[in-house]
Amino acid sequence: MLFTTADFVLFMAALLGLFLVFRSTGPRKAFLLIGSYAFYTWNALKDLLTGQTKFAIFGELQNYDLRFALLLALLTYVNFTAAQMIDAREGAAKKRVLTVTCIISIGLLAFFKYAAFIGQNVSGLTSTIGVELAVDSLKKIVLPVGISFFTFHMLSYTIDVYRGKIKATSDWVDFAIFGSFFPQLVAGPILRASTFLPALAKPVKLHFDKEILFLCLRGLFKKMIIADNVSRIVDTVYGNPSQYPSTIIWFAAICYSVQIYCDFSGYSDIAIGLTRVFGIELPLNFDRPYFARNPSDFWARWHISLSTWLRDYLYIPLGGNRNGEFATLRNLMITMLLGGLWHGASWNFVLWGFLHGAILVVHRLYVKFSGRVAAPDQRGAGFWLSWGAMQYMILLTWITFRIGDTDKMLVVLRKFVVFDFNFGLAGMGIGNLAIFQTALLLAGFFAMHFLGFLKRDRWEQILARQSDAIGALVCVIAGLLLYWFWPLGEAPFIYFQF
Amino acid sequence: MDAKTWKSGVTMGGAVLVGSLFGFALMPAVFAKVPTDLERTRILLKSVRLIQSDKLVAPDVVILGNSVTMNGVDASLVSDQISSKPTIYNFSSTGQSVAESFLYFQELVAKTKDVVLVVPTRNLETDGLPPKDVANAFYMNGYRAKSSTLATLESVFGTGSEILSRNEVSQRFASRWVLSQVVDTVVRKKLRKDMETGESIQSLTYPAPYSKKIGVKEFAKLLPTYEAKRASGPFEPIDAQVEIITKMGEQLSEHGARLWVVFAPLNPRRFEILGPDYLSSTMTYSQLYPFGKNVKVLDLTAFLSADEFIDVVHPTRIGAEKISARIGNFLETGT
Repeated sequence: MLFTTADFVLFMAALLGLFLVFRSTGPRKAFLLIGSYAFYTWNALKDLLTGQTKFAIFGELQNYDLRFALLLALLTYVNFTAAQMIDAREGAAKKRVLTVTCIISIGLLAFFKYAAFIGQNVSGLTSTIGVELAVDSLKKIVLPVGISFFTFHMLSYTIDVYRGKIKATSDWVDFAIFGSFFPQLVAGPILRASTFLPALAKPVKLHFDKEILFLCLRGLFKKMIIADNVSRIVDTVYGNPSQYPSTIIWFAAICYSVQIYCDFSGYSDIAIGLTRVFGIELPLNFDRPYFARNPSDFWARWHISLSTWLRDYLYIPLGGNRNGEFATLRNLMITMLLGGLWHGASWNFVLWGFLHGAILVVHRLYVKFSGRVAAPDQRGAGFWLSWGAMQYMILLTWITFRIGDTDKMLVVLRKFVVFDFNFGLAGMGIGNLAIFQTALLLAGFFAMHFLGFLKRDRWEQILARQSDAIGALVCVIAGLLLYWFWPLGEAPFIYFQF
Repeated sequence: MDAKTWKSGVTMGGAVLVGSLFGFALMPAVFAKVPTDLERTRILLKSVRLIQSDKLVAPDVVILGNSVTMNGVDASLVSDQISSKPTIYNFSSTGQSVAESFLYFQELVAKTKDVVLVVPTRNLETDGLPPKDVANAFYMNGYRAKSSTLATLESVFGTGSEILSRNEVSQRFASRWVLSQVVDTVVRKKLRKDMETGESIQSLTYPAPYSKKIGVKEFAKLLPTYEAKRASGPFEPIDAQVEIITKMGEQLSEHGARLWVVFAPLNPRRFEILGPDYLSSTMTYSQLYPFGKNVKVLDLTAFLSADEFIDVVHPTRIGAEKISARIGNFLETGT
């Protein structure tokens, strides 16, 4: 189910209605759990209820499949049970349970997400020595929506219990809600049990205030007015890049960087806002990433729940920066390569991870040998120079992230890096792309991003402090704009595919 | 939940809803005011209503077609060539497909004697139903398709006519496309020096939008884009296009009137891509009464020289004078 559909509005209304009728925590948690599973399987359920499909336990997997709920339940059961077993054991026995849990969790993720990719590449390799492998059946494996997210956040719980950071919960309902909590289930932010489970242990109360509303509106605004409207240029230009000069390629690259940020952070804003409705606070997932001045700064601002997950559960266990410079650089690179692969089973994501790894390595070496570390409050030429260099690299890496087709990616990269100074734009059909409207949207976005960077408070906080009259006026305008610019077609969030 | 914050939050939520309802309610007024690429549709449909209510002189001849016709046919010059000096209106518009011409035709058929359909042969090979935006612009400008019109479109093109018959709520929702291009339309009006976007496009005589010749370099770049998806080879119209024109001819015949089809001139440079067979095949085709015995066909595919085009597709004023004179002569003599 998408946040931007009428189905979701009805779903939330029904859930809140039940919460208002049933005031005690037990039934409310039950509704939250059932609601989360209903949210996850909504499209399949709807098709089933309207008679468009029939349920078959052994039938071919569909994009939205009821059986994926069983997978979610299985992972929940495995991690819940494993954590209890870990809590009850000591030494090597604990480690064995953790290892088996990791194998099952990551094995399922690998099967659904990477089997076809691995099969295809192995088959490609063996065919060079004349051995043909039959891997076509692997292509039929369908990726369950959100598997990368819920696998990671459940696994983090089990690892935290193993490390002794948290105690295993004995409340399976709480853990099942943690595993399937609908606001963040399919596209994050990746939850940490250490913050989520204690909040859930308290009585579940409804919260709704201006700040929550403005936060959700901000998310909707980013997604529906900015991301979905600038995507038209990205799709058209990257669909046939050889037709366009560097000017348009650059424009499309900027559009995509704005699109992916507004799409993903918009989702996160809505998810965080909805989570607050149920009295739970999720951490920030984005912090004005396009004001990053170096790669470390960028990863402290972009998809924070993933970068901290990778830091805590991959980079540090690999040794982090504790075993000398070479090992540190190696660990950085491994972390970023796997981080890239986490996004999708495709070489372009590996390349994206590699490039970010390389940028981190180069930056680390630069800092080490030059001894220059940017002061957090630094402004002036140095700030803008490092900012410009970092943004250039971000734009370049987003190209590899967005374009899976190698030939097209190379064309775009060439035109992006080697600027052709061709400003003659006639006859390229760009009149159909609403290029000036998109430029206006981009200008609006950067202005807001910049103002947000200058002010420490976030927009929803600033707006929530205004009088009700001003707040209502802002809401009327927001409603008007959302109605007018709501995309004509359905546009899923980009991170649903991961 | 704290009652005060709840009340405040719900009030704000209600304000969002009010804003959305405002958006819905204002949409027809916004649609009528904001500049779009389909502004001429508004002018043409208003003219249709005036003709139907006898507030505008009914035409003896209506000319239909796309921007080639807008730039290439001056209705007053056509009239000058005919001894009876009939009233002729040029109802062409940018991107007007044959199906869109059919919509105007259905509204005017009872009020006119003859209809001239100027159509580039390439459109007969590709065009289908009007795009969704065009269909929506028709609806938002007051057009309501007759059941007979919908039935004909359905029988000729199969599915697709439903975009003309959606309900009010759905059409208003769909009309938001106009907002997604408003900035570009305004900027283009300021920037495009080769395009006349002012008063002249309101004309029912010679609504030529293109006024300045493009440069050689620009022409070379544009040329291949026009035939990018077509391999060279003979002219091959699709059945639905032939059928809808045939039906127009039959309908006019019932009123004792006639349909005249003119194959619009193609820039000779385009034959470099379309190949030598293309020209000969359009000539042969035009002589076979492809749209029934009542429909006369004039093939002007190779009528103009490359100099008489402003760009790859649109004729210059001199080209327009030649085409208009030839069409006038065609209507006068039947040949």
